[in-house]
Amino acid sequence: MDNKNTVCGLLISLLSLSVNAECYTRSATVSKLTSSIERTADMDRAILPWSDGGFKCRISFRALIDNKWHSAVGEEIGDARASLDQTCAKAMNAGRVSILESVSGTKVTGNQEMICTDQPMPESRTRVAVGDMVWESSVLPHPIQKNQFNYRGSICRWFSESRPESGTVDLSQGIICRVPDQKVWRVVDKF
Amino acid sequence: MKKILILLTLVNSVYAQTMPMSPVSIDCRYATHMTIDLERIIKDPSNSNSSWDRLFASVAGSQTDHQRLSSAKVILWTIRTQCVGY
Repeated sequence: MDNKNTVCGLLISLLSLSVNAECYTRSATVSKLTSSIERTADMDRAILPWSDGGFKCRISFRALIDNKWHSAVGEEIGDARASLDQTCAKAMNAGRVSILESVSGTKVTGNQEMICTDQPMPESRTRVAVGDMVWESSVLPHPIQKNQFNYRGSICRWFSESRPESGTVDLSQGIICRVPDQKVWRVVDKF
Repeated sequence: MKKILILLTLVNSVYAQTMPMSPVSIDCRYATHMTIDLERIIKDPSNSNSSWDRLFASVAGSQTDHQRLSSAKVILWTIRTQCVGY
């Protein structure tokens, strides 16, 4: 587990794309629930110039909370002498706190924010096929096989998939392997 | 083939009736032989044998070719997950 924050709450969250393709509106209503970040994935780091020779580190990533993936962003400003890694570590921590507060707040709150980016946004997919290229957070983690493993030089993970199918739930599982030097993963098997 | 049955320890069968998602523990000393068997079954699920069939039944609770294929893949990928070099 990446984080062990315990917060009381019940989550109703909604992530919706706005009319502008490069922007999306994230809104959330939260009440009491016990949650923690089980895993983070698909991290992206951007360093932006800031005033007086400083810089801003912006980390976007996906956080697995209560077996659902959520998009998260954290920012931190460092001065000209600040360590890049330390500043970005603070940004990551800010993002983790922010997403936990959004998803698992201790009281009922409503918030909405507009985020604009030209980065492709990871989306959860209801169904994938062998050969598909996906983000790690596009698929659900496997309930039993949680650890990654090495297969023929690639880092691989198990995933699970459930889909309502005429009164029953169609369950399947599979393997994704990370494409070397890229952020995407390939679905190598499904069964 | 009885050996194979004791190589795989079924820890939990919560999902056994719906899909082959039970945790399986592999004795990696026998991974090579099992991998050869399983790759053969995956190529032709009807070309199984009674030992593997009994094992698949204990994992997935059914024996259609499709489920036999799934069970074989579960065990093969578990070997690749738990045993280095497969």
